Amino acid sequence: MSIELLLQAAVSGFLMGGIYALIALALALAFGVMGVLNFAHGDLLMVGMYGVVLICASTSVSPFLAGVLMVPAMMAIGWVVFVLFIRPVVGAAPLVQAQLTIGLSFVIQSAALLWFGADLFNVRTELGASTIRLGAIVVSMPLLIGFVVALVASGLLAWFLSATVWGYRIRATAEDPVMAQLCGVPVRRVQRWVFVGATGSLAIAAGCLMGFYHVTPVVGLQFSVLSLMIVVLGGLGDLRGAMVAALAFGVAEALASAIFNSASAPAGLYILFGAALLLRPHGLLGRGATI
Amino acid sequence: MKLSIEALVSGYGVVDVLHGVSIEIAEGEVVAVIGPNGAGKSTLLRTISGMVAARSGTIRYEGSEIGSLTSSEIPRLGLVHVPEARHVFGRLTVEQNLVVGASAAPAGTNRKDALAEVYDLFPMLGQKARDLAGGLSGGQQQMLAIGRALMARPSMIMLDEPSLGLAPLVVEQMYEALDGLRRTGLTILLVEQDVYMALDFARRAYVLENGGIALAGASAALVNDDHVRRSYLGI
Repeated sequence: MSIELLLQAAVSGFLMGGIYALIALALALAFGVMGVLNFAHGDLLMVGMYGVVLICASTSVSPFLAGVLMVPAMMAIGWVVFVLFIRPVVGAAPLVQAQLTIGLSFVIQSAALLWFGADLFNVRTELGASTIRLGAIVVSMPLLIGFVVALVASGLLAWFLSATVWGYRIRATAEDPVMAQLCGVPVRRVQRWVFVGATGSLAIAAGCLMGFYHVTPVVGLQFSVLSLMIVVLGGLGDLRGAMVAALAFGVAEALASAIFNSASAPAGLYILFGAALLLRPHGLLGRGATI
Repeated sequence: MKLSIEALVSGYGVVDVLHGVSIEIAEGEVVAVIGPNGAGKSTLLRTISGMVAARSGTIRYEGSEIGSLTSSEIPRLGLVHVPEARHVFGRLTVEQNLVVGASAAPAGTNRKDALAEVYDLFPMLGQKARDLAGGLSGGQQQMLAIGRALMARPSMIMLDEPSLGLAPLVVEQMYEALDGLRRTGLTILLVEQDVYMALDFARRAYVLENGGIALAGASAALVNDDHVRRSYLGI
């Protein structure tokens, strides 16, 4: 095991972590504002990934652009999912919310299986196998572009939340919805738009992933579990913590798969997750809610 | 009448807390509600501001019934509520808290002017504009909570226990600021556990006991009332 190989894995993992960050940020934001932990989050991402495949198959755009083009469609899906499923369980018992969103996850998975079959889809691009060299490290071009696109999207989201009036209102709603309402913030409308926006941002993440990744009806579960772990590790409701946790997860996953083998990479993640929870029960930055 | 409440019944779950409360407040008046813990003072304010639904009775503000409006619609009419325990948004800066408070301001309000006025009233908030509200002291948070409510450009404010847990010197500073507000013609409904303070500040007061109005009158008369002196002033 050479140092170069580990460094190589760490860099690739970090880049992947940037895409995880965007996915987890969307989940953390929706959870923060409505208190519903959405177990179908990864499945909505999977819908976006199939959308990107369809766009790329019928046009010649890159998957990254296809992701951006998918945003309005994903926002519309987010709207429907919010109105039909999420809004009725805002404020309900956590178990009811979990049952509902897990059920939704199965429905989306089964629908994808009926529609697309169990085959693995990916997007072939000219960039596909191209790489750039940074000294001894070789970086896959699609992964690098995906990282940059996800970073820009996360940055825009962070800017929106920290520097605009609606951003303040969203954060106020996340912190104390009753008081936000008393300040005249239309809390229900904020919740709906946050869910719609979070689902829309999954389209961007889907585009980033499809530059180099594949989609099957079951990838959703993997991303749901991953982003739930990231959000919990970052500290429930702490967006900056979620960013840090996503990058840490990307690196840990890549290192585990380089040192052992790719099948054991998830085990590495669960060990990291368990250890971090024991040591920092309020999240990596120590600012989240109690679990 | 600025606010007139008739036979208001309200409560939580199976329990009625208010059993037919009627009060009236004229434009520009400062009125206090005093009474023991658990009498329903906070519930009264929470029902007026729409946080708790009224079970029967009427709440009329500037002549129109507001009992069916939500707690985000009522502040838009110019009637704001500063709840007990302040509830500032701790992860937002002082200025961001104030901007959120302006969500209920009438359309066309200049936010910069509103901010300048609040900073004028509470200079401390201006100095700490970029600090996180969670790091402020209790007194500073109370002033922020009042400032945030004023950002809605209200014509009536309801204050729930503004002096609770604050040092006497801070309470004095805060009442000085409230006095300034009173002079601008703002209608004030004050719930206060510090009965001396409340009767000193308000011209008129209601005594709320067991969910009903036990006594009402001018503050000067209530201070000399035997029941008030025995129960609330410890004389």
